[in-house]
Amino acid sequence: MSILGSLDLNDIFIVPFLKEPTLSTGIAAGAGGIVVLGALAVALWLTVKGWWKPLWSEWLTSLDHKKIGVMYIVLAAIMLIRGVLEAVVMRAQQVSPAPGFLSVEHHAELFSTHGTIMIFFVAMPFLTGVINVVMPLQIGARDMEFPFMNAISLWLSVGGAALVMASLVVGHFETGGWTAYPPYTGIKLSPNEGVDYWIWSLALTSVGTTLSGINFAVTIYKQRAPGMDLMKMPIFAWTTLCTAILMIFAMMPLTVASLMLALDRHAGFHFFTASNGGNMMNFANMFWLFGHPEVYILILPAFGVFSHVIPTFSGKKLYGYTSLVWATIAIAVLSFTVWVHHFFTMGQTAHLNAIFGIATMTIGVPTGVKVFNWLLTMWRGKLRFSTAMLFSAGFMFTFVIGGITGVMLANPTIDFATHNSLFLVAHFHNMLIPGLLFGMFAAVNYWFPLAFGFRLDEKWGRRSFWLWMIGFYLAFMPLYAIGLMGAPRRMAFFTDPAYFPWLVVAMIGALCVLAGLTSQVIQIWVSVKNRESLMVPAGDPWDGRGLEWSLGCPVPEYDFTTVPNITSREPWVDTKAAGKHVMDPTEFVDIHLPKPTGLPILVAGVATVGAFALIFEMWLIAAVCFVAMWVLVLIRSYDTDWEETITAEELREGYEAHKRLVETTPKVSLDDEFTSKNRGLILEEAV
Amino acid sequence: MSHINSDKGMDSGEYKHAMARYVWGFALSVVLTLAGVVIAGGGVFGASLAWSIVGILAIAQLIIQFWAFMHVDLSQEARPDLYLVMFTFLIIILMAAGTVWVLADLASRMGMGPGGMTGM
Ligand code: HEM
Repeated sequence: MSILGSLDLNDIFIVPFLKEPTLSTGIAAGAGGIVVLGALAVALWLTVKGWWKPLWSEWLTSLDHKKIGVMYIVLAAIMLIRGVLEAVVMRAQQVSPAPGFLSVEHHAELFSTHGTIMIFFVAMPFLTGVINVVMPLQIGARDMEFPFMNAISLWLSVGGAALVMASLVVGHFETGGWTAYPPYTGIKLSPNEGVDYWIWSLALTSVGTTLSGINFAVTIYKQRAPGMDLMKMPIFAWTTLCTAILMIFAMMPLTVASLMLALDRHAGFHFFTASNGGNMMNFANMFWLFGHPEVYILILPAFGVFSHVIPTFSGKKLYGYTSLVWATIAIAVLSFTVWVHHFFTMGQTAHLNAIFGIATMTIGVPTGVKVFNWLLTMWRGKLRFSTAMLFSAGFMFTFVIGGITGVMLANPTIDFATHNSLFLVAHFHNMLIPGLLFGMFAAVNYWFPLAFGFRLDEKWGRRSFWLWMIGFYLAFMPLYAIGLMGAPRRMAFFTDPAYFPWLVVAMIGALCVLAGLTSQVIQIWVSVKNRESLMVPAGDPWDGRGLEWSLGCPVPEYDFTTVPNITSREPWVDTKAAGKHVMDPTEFVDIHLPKPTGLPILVAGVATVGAFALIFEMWLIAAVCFVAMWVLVLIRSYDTDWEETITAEELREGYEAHKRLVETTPKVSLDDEFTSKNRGLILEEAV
Repeated sequence: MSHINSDKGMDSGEYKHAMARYVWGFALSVVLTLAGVVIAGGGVFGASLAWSIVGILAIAQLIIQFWAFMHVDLSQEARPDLYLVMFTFLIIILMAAGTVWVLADLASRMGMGPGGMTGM
């Protein structure tokens, strides 16, 4: 076999189109072309602007948790654009006269990449990014416990995403859906590289995610400010802790199952084959041992976000802190007891299904508790509908509908009728779009000033909210209807004319969502352009309640000049109640921060090349990359000069400067919150 | 190891206490392992009894190692660690037992009798 393994000319994106020009191959070639041209355009732009160097030295090599978080979110945003575009193409396919303009395989590739991307390369990096930016600031930490490992996690995720992007240009992605069940994904029925793309891109990010989980959990355990015992932690830190623990335990079955599938495919094993003693049902079992906790990984951080946005914009303390904490813990534990509901129809006995059905309904209870917590927080509050608050309100309204259809599906008898239908597709989008995306959008709108020092444009933010909200209903309510009429999921086209009007509405909805996404791009653009008038250097632009708002915006590299002593759940609210706008300093001491380093990118880069080599069976290259990766890690282990010191004196100056700034910044009332008068320090009592 | 390398010095009480723990842990682990080997190889007990005894010895050793080497015990300072260890066990048991349950149930429906995937 040649050193290039199974790679050949036909794998290059443009070749199939040149050989056989149809609309379907044309779209595939176009998508590959966009990736290549897009990459070139970005490279060119960076060169023209001369931004390579600052990009490298200030961002790509940074170990600062805030910058790592922002880069995670940028990754999620790029992949979200691809995911939504794919969704629009699928919707267009199903409204065009059968058999549509896409080949069946091409359509299958689309829903497989859409699902894989949305879960692993949008949702996961998005929430990991938000956690990275915010969580340390909320608990009074100066960084993650393991900053170097944090960067490795980031770049492994980027590597995984790069592989999925590469599948547009070189070869194909798989066609077995985001779940990739064997035996269909075994070597016999899926002989090309598609499934291997799925396996190895997931392997990279799932390792990254496991490491992130460890990092978050240890940071929360070890780095909290003095006095902040667990029951004084902000809710977002609590949901992060539970998410982190789920990440640590839940990614493992996926990593193992996908590697077992790889062994089946390439090493002649029979874990999941249909013959020779294999048991493909165990793949479904293992996949969902991961998959169910995963959906709570996705949703818990968003719950945390809402638990901060809603109190802030209701001007009230969060209702029922303790019950929210216990509900979060209950959800985290129960999430490991319900995985069978994803395969009720696989053939178990009815009593086994019944037990898991009941467990599933139970998990609705703590979730319901939370909804009441938020509602009662808003009750009689003075509500201000900022973009973040709109997304939170939209979430509550919509998420409850999804929860209700979820409880319906938890009933095995109903599930037998709706399994594999568009009803299910409507249900999980109904959970994920409000429960994940809306949460993350709220988080970005709410916490953006911490990272960049200015607020986001409210006008475009609100537009984007309405487009997303209306778009969601138009795109997915019809799917409930035709799902109940019997429309199966993953169909390249339908021939039943009764579905057609519903599909048209769904198409309009998808376009609406696309417009919402476009508004968000415009929102960022407009905000960057108008950043002077949106600047909030004094910090706390929303009359916030958490420790993170005691800092100036953007937050300096060292986060806290002195680590505060915590005596209550809302130390910043107490400080403001005492008429102060800066927290009293404790002790100024020299601190050490990790120096920037290019090694994480190198490690992950080598790992990604190795994974690519595995996909195309270039075993030699893969082996070399594997060794190189560990050599690089070893090099880091012998590096003793990896910290830089920030002296107590600099910290004191930073504190004094912030204090002066706060004293000279005019305080504004809540009525001027969204105007350019807001330079930070928004206050309820008008001054 | 930080217990031993702490600045307290080699003959402080803390050092002796920690060292005693390591030695105890090591000795007990060796004893329990040897006991397992003897029982497995000795042929004195029937197969199922031998399985159970070795299983119990393994669990005992696990607990001893957590206590001796990882400093997880019932004290107040070790409480968060203890909870994490217990939670880990809970999850592993859920996953392992759940998998066995689901697969055995499926197998029974395939007419292979409970637990038996052999002969497939
Ligand atoms: C933004 C608007 C979105 C639209 C219009 C959309 C549309 C679709 C469509 C048309 C399908 C294929 C359904 C079928 O099987 O026939 C699909 C599948 C899927 N979507 Fe979305 N989606 C959107 C957002 C999301 C988000 C945010 C997520 C997750 C975070 C997500 C996760 C999935 C998954 C997991 C599948 C299943 C893929 C499979 O069948 O393997 N989607 N979506």
